[in-house]
Amino acid sequence: MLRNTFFRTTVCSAMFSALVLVAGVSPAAAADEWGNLKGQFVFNGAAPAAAKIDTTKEPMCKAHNVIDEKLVVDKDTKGIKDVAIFCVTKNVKVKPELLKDAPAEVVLDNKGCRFEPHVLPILVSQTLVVKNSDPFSHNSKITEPGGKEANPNLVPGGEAKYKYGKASPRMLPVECSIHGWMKAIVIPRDNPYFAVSKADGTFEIKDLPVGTKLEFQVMQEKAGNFKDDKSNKWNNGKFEYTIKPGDNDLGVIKLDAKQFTK
Amino acid sequence: MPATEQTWRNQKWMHIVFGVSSIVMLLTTVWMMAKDHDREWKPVQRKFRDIEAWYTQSRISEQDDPQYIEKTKTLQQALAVSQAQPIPSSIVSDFVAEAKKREEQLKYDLAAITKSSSELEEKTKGFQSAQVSLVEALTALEGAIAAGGASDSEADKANRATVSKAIADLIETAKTQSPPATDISNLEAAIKTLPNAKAESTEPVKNASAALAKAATEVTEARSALLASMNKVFRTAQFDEDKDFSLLKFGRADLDVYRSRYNLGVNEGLPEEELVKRDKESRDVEEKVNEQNLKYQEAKTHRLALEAILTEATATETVAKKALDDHNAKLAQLEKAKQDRTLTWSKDILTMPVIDGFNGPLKIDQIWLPKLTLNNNFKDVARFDRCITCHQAIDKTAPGGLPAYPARPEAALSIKLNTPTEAPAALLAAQQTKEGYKPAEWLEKIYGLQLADRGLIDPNDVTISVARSVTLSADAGLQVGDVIKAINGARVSTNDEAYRGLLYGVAWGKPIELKIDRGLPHPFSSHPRLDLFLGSLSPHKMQDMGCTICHEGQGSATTFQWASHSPNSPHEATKWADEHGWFNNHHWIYPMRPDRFIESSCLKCHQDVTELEPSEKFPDPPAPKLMEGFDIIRSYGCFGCHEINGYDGPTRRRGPDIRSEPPYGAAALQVLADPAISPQEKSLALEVADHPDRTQTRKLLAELITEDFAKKHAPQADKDDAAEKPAARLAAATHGMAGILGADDETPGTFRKPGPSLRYVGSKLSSDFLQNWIRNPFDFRPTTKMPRFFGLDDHLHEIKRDQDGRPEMKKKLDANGDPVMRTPVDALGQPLLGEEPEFVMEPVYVDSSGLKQSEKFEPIEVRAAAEYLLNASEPFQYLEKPKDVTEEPSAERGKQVFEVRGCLACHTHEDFPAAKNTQGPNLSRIGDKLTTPEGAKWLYSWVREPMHYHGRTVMPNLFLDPIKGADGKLTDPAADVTAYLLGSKEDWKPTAPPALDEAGLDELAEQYMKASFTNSKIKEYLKNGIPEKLRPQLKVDEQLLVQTPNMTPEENQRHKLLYVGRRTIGRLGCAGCHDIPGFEDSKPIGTGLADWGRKEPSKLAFEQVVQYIAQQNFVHGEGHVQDIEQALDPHHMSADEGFFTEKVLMHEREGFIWQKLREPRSYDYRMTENKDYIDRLRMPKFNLNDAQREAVITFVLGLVAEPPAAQYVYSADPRRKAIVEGERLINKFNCNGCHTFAQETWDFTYDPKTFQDPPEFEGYPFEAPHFTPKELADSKKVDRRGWGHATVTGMVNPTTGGEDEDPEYYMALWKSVPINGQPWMMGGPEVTILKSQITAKRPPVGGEFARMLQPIVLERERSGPNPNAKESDSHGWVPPPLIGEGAKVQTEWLHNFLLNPYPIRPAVALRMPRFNMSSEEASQLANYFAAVDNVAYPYHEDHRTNSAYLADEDAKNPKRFADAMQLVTSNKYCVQCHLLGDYTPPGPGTGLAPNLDRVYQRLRGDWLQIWLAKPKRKLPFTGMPENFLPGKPAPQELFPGTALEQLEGVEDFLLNYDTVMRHKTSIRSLVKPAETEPSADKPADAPAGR
Repeated sequence: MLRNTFFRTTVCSAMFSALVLVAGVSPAAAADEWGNLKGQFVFNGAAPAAAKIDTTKEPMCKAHNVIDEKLVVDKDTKGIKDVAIFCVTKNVKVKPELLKDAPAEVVLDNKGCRFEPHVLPILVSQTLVVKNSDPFSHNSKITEPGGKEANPNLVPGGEAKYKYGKASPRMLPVECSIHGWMKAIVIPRDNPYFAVSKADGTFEIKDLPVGTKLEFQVMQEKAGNFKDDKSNKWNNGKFEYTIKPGDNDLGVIKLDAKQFTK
Repeated sequence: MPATEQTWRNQKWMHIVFGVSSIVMLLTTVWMMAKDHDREWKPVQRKFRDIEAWYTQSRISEQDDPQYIEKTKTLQQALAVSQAQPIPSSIVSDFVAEAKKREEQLKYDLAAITKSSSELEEKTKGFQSAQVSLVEALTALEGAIAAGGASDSEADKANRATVSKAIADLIETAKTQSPPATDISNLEAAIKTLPNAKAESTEPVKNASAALAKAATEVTEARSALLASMNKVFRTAQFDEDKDFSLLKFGRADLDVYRSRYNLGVNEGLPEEELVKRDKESRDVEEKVNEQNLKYQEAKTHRLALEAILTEATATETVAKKALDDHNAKLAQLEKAKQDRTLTWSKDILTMPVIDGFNGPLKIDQIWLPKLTLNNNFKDVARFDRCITCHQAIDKTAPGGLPAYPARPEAALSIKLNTPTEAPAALLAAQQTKEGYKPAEWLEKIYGLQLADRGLIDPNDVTISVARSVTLSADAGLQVGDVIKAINGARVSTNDEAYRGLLYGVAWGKPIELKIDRGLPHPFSSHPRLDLFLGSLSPHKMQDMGCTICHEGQGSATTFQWASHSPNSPHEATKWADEHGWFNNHHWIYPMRPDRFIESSCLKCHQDVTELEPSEKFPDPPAPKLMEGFDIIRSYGCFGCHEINGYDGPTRRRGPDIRSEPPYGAAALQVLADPAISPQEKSLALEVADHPDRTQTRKLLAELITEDFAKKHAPQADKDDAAEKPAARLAAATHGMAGILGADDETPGTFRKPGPSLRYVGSKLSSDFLQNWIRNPFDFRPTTKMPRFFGLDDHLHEIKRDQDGRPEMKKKLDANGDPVMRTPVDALGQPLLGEEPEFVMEPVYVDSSGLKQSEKFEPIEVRAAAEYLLNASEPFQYLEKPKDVTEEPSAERGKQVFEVRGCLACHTHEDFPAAKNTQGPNLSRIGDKLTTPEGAKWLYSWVREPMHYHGRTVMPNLFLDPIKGADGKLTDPAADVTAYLLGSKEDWKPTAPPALDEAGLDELAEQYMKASFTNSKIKEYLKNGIPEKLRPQLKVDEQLLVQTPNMTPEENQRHKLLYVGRRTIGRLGCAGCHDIPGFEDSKPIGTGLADWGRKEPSKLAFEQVVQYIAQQNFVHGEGHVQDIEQALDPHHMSADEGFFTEKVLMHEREGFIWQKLREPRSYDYRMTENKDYIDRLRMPKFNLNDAQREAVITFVLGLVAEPPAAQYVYSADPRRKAIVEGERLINKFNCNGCHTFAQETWDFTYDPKTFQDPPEFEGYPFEAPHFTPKELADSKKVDRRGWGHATVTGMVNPTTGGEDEDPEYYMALWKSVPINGQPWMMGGPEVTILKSQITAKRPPVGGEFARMLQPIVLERERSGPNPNAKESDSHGWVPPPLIGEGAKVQTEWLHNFLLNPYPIRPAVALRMPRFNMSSEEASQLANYFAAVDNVAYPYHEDHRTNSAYLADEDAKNPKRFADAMQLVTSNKYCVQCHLLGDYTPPGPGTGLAPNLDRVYQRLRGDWLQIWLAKPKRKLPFTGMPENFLPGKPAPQELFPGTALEQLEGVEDFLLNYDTVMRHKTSIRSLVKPAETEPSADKPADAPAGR
């Protein structure tokens, strides 16, 4: 009883202040079990072809094959790239190593006239480092409602750092004004349970606490929070799931083509 | 006759007469005094005193809350502690030592001090030991409890912990505080929770505590005794000092006497001996005085020393006492206020008859205004306003400038009072047992509410007397004085019922719905706009303005009826008559303005009117109804017929001035129509047509014409031959223009005619359309501002009456001829059950001769007017399409052009329902209007170059130049738009005009000709025309009837048509709104309105209008109105209609103008039979709704032409004036159709505890926020609920909000504002606001088109070249907001830009069009922006361009500009997006940014500096990156230096671009030396020189 109360208070404070060490030495955490959540987001409909962006008027960018990344569907598997899934349960129990091992900085690179990666969940405790690997200038307009915000000019090889003020369940854009199509999405989170689907639509969130009912949010740039979802019975892209030990495979999650028409 | 004792009159009778008359006189005097004493205003004042005292009392009661009491206790304890402090013996000994110095002399009782001191020491020791005893007792108790044995239960452990904490607390208090606040009740309660509680007795602790308290009291007493004895010594010293000082003063006076004696002696020339004696005496006295002075100084020093020691001894006590006094000060103030307002018996005596003449508490209050006179028929007298005698609260303000006693609205407020989530168990228990159940206490406990014993206005009202802050009642917004009318729908009339409703059977956790009457009824309420009126900070202070200058009425009256109050509705009139004996006093010519017209009065002093628009200082519109009236009068062109001449004489201003501008432009156009004009005249006329304000040009033209005219009248050799062509070159019509063009007018009108020019009407419209339009403009365009002149015949129908005068009725038939049936209904319109359906009846009309005449003449007039207009229309040169255009016009492309190129900023079209601006006409049917090939050609010319058709149109040139597509094809957007508009049809067709009634035409012409010719001549002329030889004697109109050689009957008929057409146009005053050839010098045909607001009602021709209204109401009453009498009863009408109908019945101005606007011709009811058709009323009917009509009436009633003394007339300071002038032009050119002038504003509340403050400011000092500490502190203030308030202006992040229950919104600020004590900056972080926190929203000002266009262009971009185009980028493609424009651009640049706009931003979807604006107008607009932003104008100095500054900077770093140039032109920086000179960056157009080569002309240096540092600070949505982040300089190889040095270098470079470039261009190298002839004695190539 006493132990549990102690544990709860510790974890609560760890959630916001990211007291990595305190949580790390907590005797309770070590004894808990952790499970992984897996799945694959698949486009339900005829896979749209990748739309190439006309960069011919940009002498620096025309060499690159820049495509419209708002919706990227794999031709063969129909997997949808860059679908973000993250845990939105408040004060979720976190495996200490996940916080301990998280790097202090996360890089968002301007490369080949696009941002790499396109969708980037990040811990609020981490610093976003925007780099420019292209041999010409970019700027990165970082938007954070209620935050400092910034729009640094990045000369070749330049970089700028930004720390998000608070976690958000929204897709916060980072944009380049010089190259009108360039946009990345950052999702600042207060727990490390997030993933972005790969080119084949698969994703995996590791080391989730077993036994508690957790709420997950699914988001995609074009479909937003899947407000009109019918087939998966999500509530604005949210669903609840209780993790079992080991791998929890959600299997193929079909996302209806109609939701990507915005 | 012997003298007798008999008197002349019988003495007895005399006594009786005298006695009776004395009694009568006494009674009369008493009666007189009683009458004089019993005044209507006294109970009102008495009541208001009660109200004020009541409110003060409830404020006092509000202080009685736990927090306040707690604080009082703490402060009292602090005072007690300070008073129980021992006085250190060192201080006492110092005091004694000082006293000893004069002990003997002053007989100090020092022994008492020593005794008291030792006593105090002793008592202090006693206190200390008592302290120790208490600590010991407590420790012992703790030990005993610990020994009592503990069980393992958690509860026991917790209880024990509580006990030990209570003991520890007590020990701590006992040790640190003296005297300690030893309240052991907590401890006792804690001990009782222990199982073995009985074992431990608290008795020793109690005793020790009591002993300690006693010891503390003893210490306090001893201390006070010591201080008293010290004080006694001090007072003795002070007395001694005073005594010495008196002696010194006497001594000095003596000295003066002796010195004067000596001086006088010298003056009188006394013997030397005597002088020496006097000198000695004087010196002796001086010596004594010096001695006395020393003595006094000694006493003073002594007293000061004693005082200093005494002050030291009581220092802590003094501080504690002051803190307590300060804390109690507010309460004391309230107590005093209450005392002042309460009528005690002693004050009551002063209100008694006769005595009240001696400064009684109740008295008449008045404001005396000697300069703000009142015209009392022929004599201006000083104004006395005694209104405040009854309206005592009128200027009472609450904190924040709000009314202290708000007026009670008619409808009760609905308030939701939240309840605790769970029922308080103790309450339920108490309610069940009824034991000690006191509902009032529970009400306070649960809701923080108290109810007053009796109501304020009505004693039975359930009135809230206390509503505590930070409680449920405060959260609900309940206020002191609120009257609870109903709880959850059930009426409440006693306090008990209220207690039951709020405490019994409550659905806990759910809100209770209360109906509340808030505020006070008249006359106890305060003025609703104290920010504008009466308040000490308002522009109309009560003592300066009084009341009646705005409200009118009889200010000197002190009774309700004689003050001439005016009811706002018949219902109110009846109520007043019942309650106050009100009657309509016709004899006072300035009755009070009823509520609905109160804004009229503003016009007396605000003669320019536009200053009454909302401003930054007064964001809530000061006079919205009046301004609407003003707008209608301007835009509907009332002034075209009804001149509002604001000048009485050339310069004396008397009110608003709304007159048409002089017709110089029209006259110049008329001159241009003359084919014989010389090139010089043509050029002058062209200039005047476009710029009628150029006086010199106009006068020169007039002179040239006059010169030509003189030739015509020059004596000629053959005078007799009238047909001889005059030598004059110009036509007679042109000569007529000389008078207009040469006129002198010191104060010309300034308003342009609101209708379009009809000078070239034939070039666009067909006759059928024109006739249809004239007949009924609403037929083609229901929303038009053009009024209807024809077919207004309601008044020409008359009901047939029977012998008794009753209307004759018949069954109403439907379209099939069947009778219409109806079920009877009750008064509420509900069908009466069980009643049989009945026939619907309608009155039978009689044939009216007036109607027949209308039907005969109107079609003729319409046709004739159209004929005249088309005949007079001048030829128009259509624009040719550009030759190189390769594509045929396309309506589809045209629609897109129409959508994005700005047409919708002024016009509406049903294809684009989102566009709402009605500056220009609705174009949905334009294709039905322009059906002829000429119409199409005209439309093309108009769209492409509006000023080609009408030099002074407000329609701008949109630069619809040919567009070259990506495929090389050239399209003509003007042709495309034309094609689109011509295709905009709704299958509307003009009604075909009826065949011309020739006899009718003759008849009509005859009516007109009667004034000039005899009947026989008329017949002759109508048949054959007027002979040519009579022409010189004819008026212009009749010249149209002159015979032409070989005139056919058709030509004659046409002449007659033109004649009647011209007369019709003249009669109906068409030229008031339109420029019509031949009517250049026409005058307004209607009554002037400049003083209509005071027009004598007897001068208004009401004629038979009352009977007409009765008939109409009867007809439209459809059987509800039983008879004609009832049809006129205002009580059976709506409040508005009743009000005005009553005014008609009473023949008042308000009624006249109301009916005139509603049915302008109705005053001809039963009048048409007695007059010619052409003498009928002419006023047309405008398309106005009731509210608009009332707004117009409000304005016209305000036109009283009674300007008050000059100091009262509003005259704006130059900045405000610039703003007002600018706003007028913004309206004129509809700048705010495209541009945003202010962003959205939200008011919201927040919880200061959870409100997240912005991150720390990072940036350069020059972009730091500027808020005073007071502004920051003010922003932290919270209301009674404990919530903060803020107002933010900006743009809401479109991705926020949503459908959650309480969604978050993020607002990007466009104005820096302090919130919760922190600065929030424009371009800083967005403010997070919850939906539930928003209390008010004000929409953005202007920019509707930009907001509408943005998603369209974004979508176009996304579906075209860039599928990822960003919402934030698209802000830059539409017309920019002009917020802060004045601080951004240089005034002179803006002036030039407005006259000659050029593309600035390469990415925009549309260009700034070119308006036909005069240089003066452009200056006014440029000044407006600077004035709004409070920056210097028209010129400003920027030190960065000063040569001395540049020289200094150059000396420091000569390479500065070269480096800046390198940075700017580096492809990693500016030129990546910006154009510079002839360089255009590669990449798509939407990514390009303005050319930097004109920055030096365009931008202000201060603005540029912040823009370069952090662009978001100036344009929150900009995509421009931050290039000079503090501490992160650009690569040093581009510009060596810090980021700030780089920033300033670039800034100075851009601002001096022209200078830098000039240095780069060598003119010398361009100039070739002149070739010289080789001289004979010098070789050609020899060097020049001497």
